[in-house]
Amino acid sequence: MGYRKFIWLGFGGLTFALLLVYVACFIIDPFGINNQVRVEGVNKIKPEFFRTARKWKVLNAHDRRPSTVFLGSSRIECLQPEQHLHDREEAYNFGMSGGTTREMLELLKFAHRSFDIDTAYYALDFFAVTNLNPPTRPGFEQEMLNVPAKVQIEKHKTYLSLHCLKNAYRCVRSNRADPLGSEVKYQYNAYGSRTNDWHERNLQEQGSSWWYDQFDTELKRYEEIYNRDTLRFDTRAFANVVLLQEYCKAHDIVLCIFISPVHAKQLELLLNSGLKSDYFTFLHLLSKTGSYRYFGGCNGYPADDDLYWDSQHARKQMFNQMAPHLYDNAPGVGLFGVQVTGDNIEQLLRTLEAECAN
Amino acid sequence: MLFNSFEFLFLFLPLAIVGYYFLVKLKYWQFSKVWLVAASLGFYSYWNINFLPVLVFSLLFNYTVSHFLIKGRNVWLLTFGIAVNVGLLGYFKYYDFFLENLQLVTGGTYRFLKLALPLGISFFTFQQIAFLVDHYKHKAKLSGFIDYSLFVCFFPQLIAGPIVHHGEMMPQFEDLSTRRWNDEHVAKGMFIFINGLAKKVLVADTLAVWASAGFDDLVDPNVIEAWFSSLAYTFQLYFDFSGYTDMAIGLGLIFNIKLPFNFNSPYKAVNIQDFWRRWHMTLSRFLRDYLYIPFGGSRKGEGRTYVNLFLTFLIGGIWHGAGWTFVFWGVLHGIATIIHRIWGRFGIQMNKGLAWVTTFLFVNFAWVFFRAANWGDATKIIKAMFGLGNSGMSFGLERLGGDVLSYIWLMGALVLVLFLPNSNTIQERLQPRFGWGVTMIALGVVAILSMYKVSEFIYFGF
Repeated sequence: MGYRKFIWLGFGGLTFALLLVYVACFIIDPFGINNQVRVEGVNKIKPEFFRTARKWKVLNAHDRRPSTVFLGSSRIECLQPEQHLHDREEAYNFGMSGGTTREMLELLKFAHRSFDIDTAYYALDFFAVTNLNPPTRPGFEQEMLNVPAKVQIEKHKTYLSLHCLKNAYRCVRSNRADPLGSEVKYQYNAYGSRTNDWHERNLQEQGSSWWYDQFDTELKRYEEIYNRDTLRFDTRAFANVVLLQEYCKAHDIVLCIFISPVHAKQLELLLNSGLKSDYFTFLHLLSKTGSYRYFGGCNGYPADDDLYWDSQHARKQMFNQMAPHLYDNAPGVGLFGVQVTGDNIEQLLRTLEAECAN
Repeated sequence: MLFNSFEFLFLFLPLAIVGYYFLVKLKYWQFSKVWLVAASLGFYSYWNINFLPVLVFSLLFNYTVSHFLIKGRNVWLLTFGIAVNVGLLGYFKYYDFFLENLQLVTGGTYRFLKLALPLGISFFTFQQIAFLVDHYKHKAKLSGFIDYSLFVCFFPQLIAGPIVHHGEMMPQFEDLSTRRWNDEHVAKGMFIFINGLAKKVLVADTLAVWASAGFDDLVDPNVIEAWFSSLAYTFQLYFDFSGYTDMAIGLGLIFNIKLPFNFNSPYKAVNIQDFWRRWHMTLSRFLRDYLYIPFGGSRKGEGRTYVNLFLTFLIGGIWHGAGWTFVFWGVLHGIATIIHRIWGRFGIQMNKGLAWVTTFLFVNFAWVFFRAANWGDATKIIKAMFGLGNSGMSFGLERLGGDVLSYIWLMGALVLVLFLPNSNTIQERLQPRFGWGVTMIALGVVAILSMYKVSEFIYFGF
């Protein structure tokens, strides 16, 4: 073999192998970036797909170019807030498991730089402003957000990587093993919201007793975590919220912050963990930096299996009740959807104090 | 732009190659060089366009000074030229370090510049100082501005070397026979490039995780963790830097330009002098020719030789970075070289195996200061290496994010550096055979598929 032939063999072989990987990953699409292609038994279900949400949502949103974004933790990703908008094509849900305030600030900036959003909803919860969170979590790629022009390159990287190839293999294997998709925990719809509520299916199949057991187990687990770690309100995490508010103000972005549904049991959890004063400090400080909607006190355990799917997360049915307050500015009912400002914060805290005493 | 990035591999490089050989095919010799200069400047700017004026200024300034040096051996002009180069480097690299220390000594408060370091400034400054000096001594001839620009900016070596010498580059740019597609060079270039990419992406980046965890994250490493982190860094640095150099040499060959070797299995060295003949060879050459020999080398008596050696390594340390840890690293190597020289005078032969172990352990020890972000981190690791840190003695590497496999990686790295042929040998031995081709494709595919994260080269920071 001459050197010329060696070059062609090397170049051709390399190109062919890489192309093969790219095409395979593109078709199988284990991260669901290329949402259109779904083949039964090949890539209809995407196991472990939620683990890559931080990257996937950025790439997906970049393609969809929404004008309204929803920010927050897993508490908002399953609410499906886009369902109630007139034009849901315009919306994108950046809610992600353990989403930190720093991540949300950076995502907001990215969304503004990339597709010039005009409205942002931030489902803030107390745990996002505690020292439980690192500034960002694994999978969050600041580099990609800094230069929106590079997002397309990042997208191609996603298809052309061992990481993707490994997931593509897993995807095919699990699709073959169970083409009906019972292994999948949940996945995201085109607007970034969680779908395929596995609790719903289990509820239908096993009834409410299953759900109560789940609830108790989850609650004990969370209480244990919060008691074990020295959990406190973190001013650095809160500072990101203030920066986010300032950014929106400076760039004419309408910002609506709301405290996602806090049911009675969750408040009890905060009390048991000795976090009441920190929680009150947070609500108080937030009222000083801007107004927000507080969705609390609406229900208690265990009467609401239709609204909650574990001790922490509300289901999309809950959002049916929240939507009028958020989108149509309906006044609050009791503590549910009340607009909080510096003027009525003391009143809210007094009401909460009384609720805690009970 | 990084060699290990998609933008470089799938956009920049194909465009640069096709454009260059297209112009060569049309026999637009001058334009082909202009194309390479333009591509190199684009490559440089892609990172941060704000640095481009610094590079262009440096180019224009040094070329102009060289031009005036033709007219007569004006020592003042040479001094001025060197001073401006050193001043530029000092301003960007050492100004804040100087102020920091002044502040410590005087107790005053100063305003720090907090400037970002222009990429490759240490490399292109040294290259051009060498050119000025040789030009002054009539050892170098001034070519056209395009050739000069290409000598300084040729993108494979612009950011992190090898530090090329005008004597080995200018003739290649002037020689028309180098401006043609050379099958053998392109084939070897491809292989060496992919080999370098694999070194960086597969080995260096894997080891980097454990090294960083030990140096940056752990507050109280135990003896095992400290040794593991330091060894992981020792190998990371080699695979990172020699990987970059391989890529640079490979790219050079693709353009039919031969860049000098920079490594020759340094971890096989059996004494410190041997190490410096094998590690970053182009920097060693520069330090020898433009510092050690002008200081007097070994011509002025034994005592003076020691002083010259010490000063050369001290400056070598400072060149790497503005920090006391770099200074100390240079001092350590200076002292070790002096000890080696004194030892040599007694004519005592050390067992080869023992000599290798001693050299390797010393180099590993010194790298701790090179890697540590500050003095505290360095002493933390060193103390723990000598059993003075965390008294816990566990072989588990959970705190470094590692496991049993990490030990295998480390052993694998040692086997690679000791027993496998280095890139220079590969370049000589490579034949257009099926086995080499399959190796290249396999390495290339796995390396490219592993380029998932942005990962800079260590020497970009120097």
